[in-house]
Amino acid sequence: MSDTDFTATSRAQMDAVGQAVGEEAFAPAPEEEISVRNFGFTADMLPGWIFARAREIDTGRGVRLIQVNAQATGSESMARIEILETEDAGQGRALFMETLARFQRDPADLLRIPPRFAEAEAVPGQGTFVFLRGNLVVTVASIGAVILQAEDLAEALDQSICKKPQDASDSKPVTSGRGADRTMVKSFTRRTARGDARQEAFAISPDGSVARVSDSDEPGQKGSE
Amino acid sequence: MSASLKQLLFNHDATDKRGSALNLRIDYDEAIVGPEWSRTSVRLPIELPIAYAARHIDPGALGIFANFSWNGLPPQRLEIQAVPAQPRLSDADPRTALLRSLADSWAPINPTLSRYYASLAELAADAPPILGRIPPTPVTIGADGESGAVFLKLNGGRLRASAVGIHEIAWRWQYRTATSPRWQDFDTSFHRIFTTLDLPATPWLQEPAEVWNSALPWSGALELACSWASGARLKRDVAAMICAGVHAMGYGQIEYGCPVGAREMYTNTPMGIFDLTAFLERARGGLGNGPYVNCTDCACAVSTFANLLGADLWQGRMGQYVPAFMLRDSQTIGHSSWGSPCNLGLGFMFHEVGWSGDCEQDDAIYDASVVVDSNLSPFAHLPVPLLPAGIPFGSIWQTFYRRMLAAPESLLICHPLPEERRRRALI
Repeated sequence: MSDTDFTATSRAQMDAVGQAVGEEAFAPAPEEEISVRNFGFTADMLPGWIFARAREIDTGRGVRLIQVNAQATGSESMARIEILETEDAGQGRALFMETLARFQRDPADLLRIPPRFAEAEAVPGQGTFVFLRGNLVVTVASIGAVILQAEDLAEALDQSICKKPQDASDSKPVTSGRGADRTMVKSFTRRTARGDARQEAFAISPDGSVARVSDSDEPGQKGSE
Repeated sequence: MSASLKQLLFNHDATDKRGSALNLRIDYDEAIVGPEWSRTSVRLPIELPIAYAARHIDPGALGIFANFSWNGLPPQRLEIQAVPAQPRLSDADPRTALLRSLADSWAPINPTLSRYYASLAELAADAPPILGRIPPTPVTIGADGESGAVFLKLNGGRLRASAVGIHEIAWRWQYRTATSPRWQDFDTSFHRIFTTLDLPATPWLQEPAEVWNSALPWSGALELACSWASGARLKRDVAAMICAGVHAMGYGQIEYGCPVGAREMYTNTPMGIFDLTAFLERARGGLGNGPYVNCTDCACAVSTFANLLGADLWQGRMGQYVPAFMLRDSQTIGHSSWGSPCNLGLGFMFHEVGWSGDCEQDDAIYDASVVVDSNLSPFAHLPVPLLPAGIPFGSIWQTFYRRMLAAPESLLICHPLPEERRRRALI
């Protein structure tokens, strides 16, 4: 075994997590599924919170790690938010399970069943909260002098992620050239009773401007035939 | 007519470090490019950090490359030397300050011991400079007034025998010519030099020496590691002193993360990374990723800093995940009370530590996250605290780490997981 062969969570630990976490940990599939690509924090995402030290790491596992420190305006409450952006909801679910292995405690003791607002939730203590939303695994942890109610911030963040932009312009979003690599794309997929999928997508620039996206506009996506 | 110093290159061989300084970078984001000391006409000299792996040095091969320029007609015969001068910071190596403070502390209680520490402090302060002097070397100046790169040999004997440390040195540069045979000063250069015991072990790398290679040793990490392990001459001492250094951060900077469910805050195991950037920021008094850590964070810190100085530790695990193993009373980092972690009585699904060798029971443990009770007597209940820094894991029969950490009923569950040893990449 080379030094770098073994970097992620071990099979033994994942087996243990798998035994502890059953299907009941996950909420039924929502009516409208959300998928986010190129997640980025925008200034108006969480009113009352200031973001600092945003860092993005491509981990080489088809997963983007986005880290940011958030401070409540006029308070000593500080949180560290970690977003793991996976390729699809299935990988997100697997990574949510793997995230439970980052605690030294039994995963079964961490879960909230059924979840209250997200697709799956772990509540290891008042200072930290983990949830799954679509292809995103989000961890909020208190890091300031005052212990933060992490769940409140997590819920506000989840609402922000799920929020469908209302004032999207019809102009073409920035999907190529300078700035395109920082444009977040939110896709909402609603399945009809007949089994058809109806999709809406929005491109959100780092400055908060929003544009509706057709499939062919999405960065890195080939147009539909 | 005069000489001037243009640049000094300590790291002149990217692959062979027997005669050259190590390949370094500043931190994850910033690489070091070019010579460690250089001067242009418009600004102050640029001084970059330098590091040597002491035990890897071949004293006969040690040297630096220097470039000089000459103002005026090139002399027929020019010799250049550098003699040690007074460094700008005399207390760079914290040993001297520590010994002086010990001397002061003991003065009213035990004057003899105080004098002993004072004499050690004097010895440490008056030690000859780590790179000594550069002997007289002939230098040829071209028609353009430039010398080109000149190899200047250094006496590496003292460097090879040195301990881990931080050294501030200064060189007074002098020249003489056939027509002016008296040595004349023409420049002074200042340098900050880190000495490690050996070449860094993974996750640190020495190759490729490219700008993008973030696994080259970071000078910011060397600063902290060398101050913690200053004076260490053996790898096991390096590991133990680093372990003590990380644990000492528990007095105000970090603590076991009960409010966050004992989650890893500086490590991301699924992604296989350790956020050394944030950990260094925390160690320097900044926010970093906050005060909370768990055993994995501490194991990463211990092994990463120790391996930077040439030790060979792993991030090794024990336990079997299900069921958790119960613990004897202990003190978690940043907490002074004895009991179970966070007083939950839940035990550990796993525990992770700095671990030597193959992470088996005969290999040594360096656990900065938990102080164990070394009093295993069934008759006396007064805990005797021990920071496990160099004791073997041990079998269930031996009075080593395993029996000090795990409750008697959990000794069989608390077993090494050598197949899970790892060294996480750094960000």
